[in-house]
Order: sequence, then structure tokens, then C-alpha cells
Amino acid sequence: MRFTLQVDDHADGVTTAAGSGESAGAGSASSADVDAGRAVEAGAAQSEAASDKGHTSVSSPGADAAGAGTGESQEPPGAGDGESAAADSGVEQVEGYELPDAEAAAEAAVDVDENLPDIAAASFGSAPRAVIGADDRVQITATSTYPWSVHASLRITANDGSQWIGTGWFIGPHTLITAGHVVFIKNSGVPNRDGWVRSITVIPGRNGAAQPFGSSVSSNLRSVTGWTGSGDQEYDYGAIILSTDLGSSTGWLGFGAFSDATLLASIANISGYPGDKPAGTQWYHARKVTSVGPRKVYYDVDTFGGQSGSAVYRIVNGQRFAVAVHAYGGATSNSGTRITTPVFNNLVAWKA
Amino acid sequence: MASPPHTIVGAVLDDVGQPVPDAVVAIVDAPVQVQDIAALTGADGRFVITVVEPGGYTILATAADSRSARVSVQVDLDAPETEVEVHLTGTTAHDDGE
Repeated sequence: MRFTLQVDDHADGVTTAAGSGESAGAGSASSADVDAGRAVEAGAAQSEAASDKGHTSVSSPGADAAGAGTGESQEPPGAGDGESAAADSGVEQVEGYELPDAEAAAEAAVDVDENLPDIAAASFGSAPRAVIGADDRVQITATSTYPWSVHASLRITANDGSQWIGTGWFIGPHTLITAGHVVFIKNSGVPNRDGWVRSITVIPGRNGAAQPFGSSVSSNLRSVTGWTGSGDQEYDYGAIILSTDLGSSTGWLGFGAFSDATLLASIANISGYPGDKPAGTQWYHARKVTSVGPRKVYYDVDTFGGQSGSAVYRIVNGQRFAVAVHAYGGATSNSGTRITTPVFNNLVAWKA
Repeated sequence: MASPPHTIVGAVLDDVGQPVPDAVVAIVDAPVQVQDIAALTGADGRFVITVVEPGGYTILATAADSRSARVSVQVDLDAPETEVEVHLTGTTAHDDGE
């Protein structure tokens, strides 16, 4: 099994390859010089990051930065066994789920757009589309196999002892990405609740009572000042660092900073742990991206409380690349924090 | 300028009025987008969730055995908190139209 870094031809920047195992996915995408690709991306990002201090990374008290590197060079085991095939339709091939015709037609446009130069579209400021269809989410039961294994049910204990549920996803052996408000509670109005949460129990691939990879508890958390200081939902993302390399067993998703045009032509896939379904069960849904902002992505994918932190990902040539971190739900649209270049750079740093 | 936070304070009770611990409580309908996180009730069945805009909210509570119930509340930011009780029925969340 190989987990490699690759350049996605359609991305604005480098994306890290999905931890999909050797049986599919990783080997089929275009490989490139890893170091050169990353260097180009990092260099291009510096000026943007410098002018956007909201993305300054912050850690929970007592975070063990050295510990984050443990097992960095460890070769992942065979997470690719039982690999789930992803077709060119942009959605997962899940029994019981079918993308509506209109959405499929939109994805057909992706194939065309992917051959075009990656230019930015003038879509900033467009309003979220006010259509969310019927609830046709499907339950995932093969949660011990990739890609479903990368998604984790989270049980969060806040400072005041209150408990919450959310979702996270692996980007590497010991790093999960989630929403900022999952790791750091801001402006709750409840005494002793705000701040870094006390702990998070991570249960990858959970299927009800079944915990195929066990669980891990962490208080080693990351977010950015735009969230912890300002509570700005455009900076609502964070990370959970584990003390073990549990992700080497589950695999992980790639991620990338994509252009407006690419995002607007993409199907958004989300799998997570909604609170309106039987406890601890994983549910999947997909719809096209409806609009984008400089730091947000909007979509009609059905979600529910408990799915904060889920990966919003697109499928390219059988590989999965997160484009946003799901964070907000509403009657007319749902949205996530867009993976822009500064976000991408923080994810790369947190993955190390 | 964002409105100051307001809390919806409540309890999830079963059909004989006993507290239901570890029930999932989430906002179903709201006047604005809300964080897609869900609360778990404590041993006393109680929960406190935060909202930042006035208006009508619908809350869904789902117990570990999938019994569920919805309740609608009107939030007025002039009051610091809104009290609510959610009484579970035998209906499950995933077959009542959710």
C-alpha cells in the first residue's frame, strides 16, 4: 500500500492524496513531483496567508506538538482492502442512493469543465440557492471499509460538562479535521462552557454499537484565531490530534483548494453522523454545489445536527478530495468552511 | 453587529414525565443557518443550546431507542432564555417525515 502526495491537475494547488490503498484510487491519479508541487503551493500561499491573520493556527492548552509527529513515517497498513469504487459520476456507488437527473446532468458538465483552464468564476457574493430536496439520505453499513472508515463519530465534552455529537474525518494517520465549533465553543452565553472543549472521543467507522476501529480520546486540538478569537463562521474549522496512528487503519481523504469554477461544477459528497438517525449510524448524501464565497461553500446536501465537521468532498478519477468542512445547516441551504490556500496550509501543518 | 446569545433551556422527558438521559437534541428549523452540532441530554434529561437570532425554532429530540419528538419555540432575545420541555413519543425520528 502506498500513501503518496500528488498534484491534482484541476486544483488551484496541491492536494494530498487520499489514503485509499493500493487497490484503487491513489494509483490512478496523476502523480507529480511531491516536493516541487508542495513548494510551489506554499510559496504562492504565503502572501495570502500573511494578509489573512484569521488563519493563524492555535492549539489547545497542553497540546503536545512533538507528539503529533509520532509515527510520521509509519507505513499505513492495508486500509485499501474492500475499497469502495467511486465512479466518474462524482458520487459514491451506494445501494439505494441515486443522484437526481438534474444533478447528474450538472456533473456531466464537470467532465467538460475539468478540461478547461482553472480560472476563477465571478460568483462571489451569490446567494445560497433555496432548494433542499426530500430526505433521501442512505445509511452506510460497510463502515469498516474505505472510504466510509475515514469518517468518525465524535462525542464531545465541553468545559461545563455538557456533551455534544459531531463528525470528523482523517487526513492522515493521527489527524482528523472537523468544525471549529466542535473543538472550541465560542459565544455560547452559558457559564463555563466557552473555550477549548475538555475532550473528544473519536470513533472511526462507527456503526451503531459497532466500533470496528475502537475509539480514541483526545484533548489535543487545533483551530485558528479567526474562530477562537472572533467566532467568524468563515474560519470555522479545526483539528483533533490523536496520540496513536489510528488513521493508518482507517485510511484518510485527500483535500484541496479548488477554483470557483471547479467547485461550482462539482458534486458535494457528505457522509457523517446525524443526530436524527439511530444513534451512531453513518449516513451519506450528495448534491451539487450551489454557490461559493471566498471562504464558504454552499450546497443542498441534506445534513442534520451531529454532522458538523463532516468532509464535503468531490470525487475525481476515483479519488476523493475534501473541498470544505461542513459546519452550518439551514432550511434553505447548508454550508461549510471552504478549503482555501491558507486553510490547506494549516491542514498540511496539522497533518504532520 | 451580532445579537447577544440566547439560550433555549429544556428537558427531554418520557411519556410518564421521567428525564431521558443521552437523548440527542438538535435544531430542525431556524430563521438562520445554525451550527450543525447536536447536544446530548445529561443524566437529568436537561440541555442548554444557544441561538443568536430571534424567531421560531423547532427542536427535535431523539432518544437512544429512537423515540423522538419535536417542539416549536418562539425565541425573544429580550428574555435571556427560553424554557421548553420535550415529551417523547413512540415515533422514531426517521419515519415521521424527517
